[in-house]
Amino acid sequence: MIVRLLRRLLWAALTLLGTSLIVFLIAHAVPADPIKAFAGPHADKATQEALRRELHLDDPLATQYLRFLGNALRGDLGRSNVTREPVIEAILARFPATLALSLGGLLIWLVVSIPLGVLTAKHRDKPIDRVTLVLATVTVSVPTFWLGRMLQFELAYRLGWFPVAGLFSWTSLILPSVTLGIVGVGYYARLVHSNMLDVLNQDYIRAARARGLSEPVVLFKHGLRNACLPVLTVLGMDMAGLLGGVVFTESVFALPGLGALSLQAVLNLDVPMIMGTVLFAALLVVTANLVVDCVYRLVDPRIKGA
Amino acid sequence: MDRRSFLAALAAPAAALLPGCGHGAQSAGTLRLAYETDFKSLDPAQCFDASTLQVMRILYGGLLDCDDDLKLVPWLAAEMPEVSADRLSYTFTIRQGVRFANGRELTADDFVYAIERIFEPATKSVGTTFLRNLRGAEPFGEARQRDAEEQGTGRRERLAEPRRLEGVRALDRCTLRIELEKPDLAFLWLLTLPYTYPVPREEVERHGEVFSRNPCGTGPFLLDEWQRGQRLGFGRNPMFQGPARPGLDRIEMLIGYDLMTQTMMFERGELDLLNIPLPDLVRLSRDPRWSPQVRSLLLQETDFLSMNCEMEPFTDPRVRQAVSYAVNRERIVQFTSGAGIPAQGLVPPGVFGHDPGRKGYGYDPGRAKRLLQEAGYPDGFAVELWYPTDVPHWGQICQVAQQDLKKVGIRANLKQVAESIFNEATARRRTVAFSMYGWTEDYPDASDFLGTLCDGSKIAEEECTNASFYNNEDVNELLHRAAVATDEAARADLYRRAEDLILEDAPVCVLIHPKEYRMCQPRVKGFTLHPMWFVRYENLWLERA
Amino acid sequence: MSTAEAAADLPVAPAAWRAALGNRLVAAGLAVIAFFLFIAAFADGLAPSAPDQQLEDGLDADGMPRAPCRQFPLGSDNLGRDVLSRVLHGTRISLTVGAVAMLTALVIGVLVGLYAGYYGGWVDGLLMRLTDVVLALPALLLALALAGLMDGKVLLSRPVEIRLERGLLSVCLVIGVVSWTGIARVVRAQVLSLKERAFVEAARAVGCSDRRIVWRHILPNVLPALIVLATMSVAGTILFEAGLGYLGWGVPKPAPSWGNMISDGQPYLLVAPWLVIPPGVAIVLAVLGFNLLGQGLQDVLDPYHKKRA
Repeated sequence: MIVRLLRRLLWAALTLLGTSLIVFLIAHAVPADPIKAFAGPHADKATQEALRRELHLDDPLATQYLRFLGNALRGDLGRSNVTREPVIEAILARFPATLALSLGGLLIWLVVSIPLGVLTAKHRDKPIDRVTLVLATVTVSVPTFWLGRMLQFELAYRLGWFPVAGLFSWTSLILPSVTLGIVGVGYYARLVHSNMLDVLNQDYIRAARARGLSEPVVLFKHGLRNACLPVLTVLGMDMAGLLGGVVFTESVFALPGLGALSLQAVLNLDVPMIMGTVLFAALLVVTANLVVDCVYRLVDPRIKGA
Repeated sequence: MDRRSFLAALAAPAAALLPGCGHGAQSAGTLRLAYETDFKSLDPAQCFDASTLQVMRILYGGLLDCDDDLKLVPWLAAEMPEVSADRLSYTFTIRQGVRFANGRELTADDFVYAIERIFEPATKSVGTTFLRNLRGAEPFGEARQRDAEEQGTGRRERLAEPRRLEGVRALDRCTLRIELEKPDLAFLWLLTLPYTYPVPREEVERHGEVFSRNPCGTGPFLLDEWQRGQRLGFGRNPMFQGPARPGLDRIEMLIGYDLMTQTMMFERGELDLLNIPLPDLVRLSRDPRWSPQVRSLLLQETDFLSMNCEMEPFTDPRVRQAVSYAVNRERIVQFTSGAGIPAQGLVPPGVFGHDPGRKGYGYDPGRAKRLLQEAGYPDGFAVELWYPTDVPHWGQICQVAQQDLKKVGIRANLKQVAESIFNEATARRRTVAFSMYGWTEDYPDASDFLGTLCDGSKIAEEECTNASFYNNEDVNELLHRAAVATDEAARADLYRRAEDLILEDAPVCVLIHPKEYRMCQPRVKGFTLHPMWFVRYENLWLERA
Repeated sequence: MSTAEAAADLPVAPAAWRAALGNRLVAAGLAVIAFFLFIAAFADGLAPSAPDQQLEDGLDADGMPRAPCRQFPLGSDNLGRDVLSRVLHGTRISLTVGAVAMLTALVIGVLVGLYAGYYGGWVDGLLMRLTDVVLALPALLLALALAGLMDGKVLLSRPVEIRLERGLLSVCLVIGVVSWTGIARVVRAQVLSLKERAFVEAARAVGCSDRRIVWRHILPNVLPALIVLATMSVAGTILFEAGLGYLGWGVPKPAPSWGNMISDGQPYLLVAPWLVIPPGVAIVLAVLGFNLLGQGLQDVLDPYHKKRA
């Protein structure tokens, strides 16, 4: 178990190393001269040269990468070219909003998709299953930003049920979470559905039924627990996708989160900020995968034995 | 950020989640508004956009102010300055009892410090361009450059001679003398700009590079909260001794809201002020609920298509004239819901040197075609038209222009580029042939338009403000004479003649002078728009419900 | 395993296709896709005007977009262009992006998946690590960074200057380059299970080369999964392009891509919602078509052998 965990940790670290290399290479191909951005548009040649030396931009790329890596390991991701604030501070200041939004979306996914998946698996090929299937396919086909705008327009602007935008109280998070929830819920409902179908065919479910256990107990206690494991894996892998949805949702609802931060960074070609946010996102994804992996091993009896 | 403050940051939204507590409740005297993007810096030396200018005004102050009728009035100066007969020397008396937000009293030395500071490379100020005419500015600036080269950036000891700026001296605690190299009738206007606003030396040195985030001035408000990219909060400055106390307790500026979102929020009462976006202009100004709240202002700005006179095919003036004839300005105005007026020349109305009788290029595609034929382009040509991403309706203006140009055979491919790249590339010699450009006054004088945009002697390889790289000896000569003229009428005439020549050569195809519309909630009182300052927050107050 | 069994394993058996066509999801998906293909093919004839044509009477007296009426069935936009014509022409862009980006992703994904799965060992380790790395990077941000990079000159190596421009093709490539990971993983998993099967062993026994085994024996058996993945991937890439367009980094304007239309029309949402709703509905329908088809094919072709479990 410990050895497995260590191996997973090593893989995670390697993955992060790879992402940092890719991010670094992309960032250094961005055409904007970092010196111009850093020193301001009106700095003269001498100032620019001094800064170039100070920031070690004359060094070979490999040296620069190693220095970047070393600083990143110490939690120093450099300073924004635009605002001059330390990138890590900006990221940590924005993280809570993104976390709250993601958890909101996740909550809706799980709360809606699990019962729906179980129900449709139980009533396979009945009308409820058909209708849910079509609805689920529709929801995964809707662009997040468009849905968000439509909800904002109707429910917040026209009807005034929710705040239009910003993050001022918990009510501000409802619409964004619902948006994020809707675009993901269909996918997870189908996932739970197909996993449940597999599980319901297993012998131990038949055995449980034969023992005369009530149907809800069979479905939720024995079936769901096993059906949820693959869902967990996908959820871990889907973190990057979730972050993509977060970018759009935050942009529509003007939430001060990581998505808005990274989008702004890309628009400004703010290289350190782009690198920082993308790396941080990668860290989140890798961590999520790692956690899911560990939970999986703890929960799943089959793997534990292996 | 240390761990504790990260936890605090985590706790903030958690607090926001509790109903009715914390940021959610707006206290009675709080004005709330929103912006799309954050401020880059709140250091007056680094200010150069309109929204920052409004904030500078509430945090800092200058020697002179400009009133509703665009007349200069004393601000931190006790009265208008004494001017010497040769118009080279100005003596100011500083108002007594003015204090910085940190409690220290303002003296004439603070002005000297602030102006000298502009020339330090480490300040990264754009103000040097405006203050080049101060006596001794050139050697002083060069000396500071040498300092920077020898010491690296960031150090503040002055080693190279001259160590002082000759033209700016404190005669005593409250007397300041400013001297110029050459007479300049527009000079006093420069003193309304933030570059000469006094800053307390002790605060600048304490904060160093981050002074831009920790402003400390003589204005009616002070910055008490700045979460980058999220929000700014301004409270009253307890040290403020101005003629009138501000009517607002607090100003809250939210960051990261696009204009359409702002409009929705405003209509739902979540914001107090709104910069009305063009699409909603007609609707809101006809809505009986909102129309009394709408204020409009003709901006002292000219939007134009800039043609690089050093690049084919725009080296030929006939081609440039053809472009000017080909574009239908009335249609552009129509397409932008009337948010502007067709431009006849480069100098907008309300600016010194504007010629109200000027007739610019009319819409005449036939003539444009003939000119192209004469120039050797009977079938027209293809060219890339660059425009920056940051002005929302420029894409539309470019598209209208694109259609008009197509009718005379010029195939313009629209190229939208990020603002930073746009600014860098258009200011670089022989890089961009054709671009959409706009120029807003820094101060209401023709020199700020013609001198900045069309002076051929100022052409530089990089960071050139003469984006058309237009060079006409006669124009340069007229501009230089106008700059040092001491008689107002003669000066206006020189600028008029220079503009005549420029428009004939047509390095730019002038399009419109835009208008701006803003509105406020009925509870906001004292709301008027000022041509230079736009919103003056210190004049606003809220009607208590 | 007899040859007969091996043949039954092949998805392209006619019986499977007949079953597919009988499936209601597949039929619905194909109908929607056929509808959009028809529009894309005949957009010039179907559209009342050219997509970029700013019509003389396209704006009302205030210079505002016209509401839907006889002349403009879906209204006109802020530049006096016919929204219907733009939506119709947008179909071309979206389907092109969908197809080209899908092919890009498919080629990369299949190559990585096939070789990783077949060779195993360090090849597998390396390729899967690469997949993990790309998977960990948020695709949207990666694509935005790449799109930003394309907007100007890039020096790849000092003497040769390579200039990249944002255009239809480059947007497709960017989307493809960031969305192949899912395909690679599934293909690898399939190959892993296939290469233990008897017919592969048999092929190896008669001395087939590795390349022949991979392309002639394994790939055809991965095909059902690939068809499902490709269909779903078209849906994903259409959504992705719309998102990039919405953020202002899609196909360059004034191309009437649906994402661009929403992005351009959004400021007019409060006064002219017909600028935003039709392209949005078009996206939903097109994506839905591919998703339905994918879903249906998955049920019919059963590439993951769900029903046998």
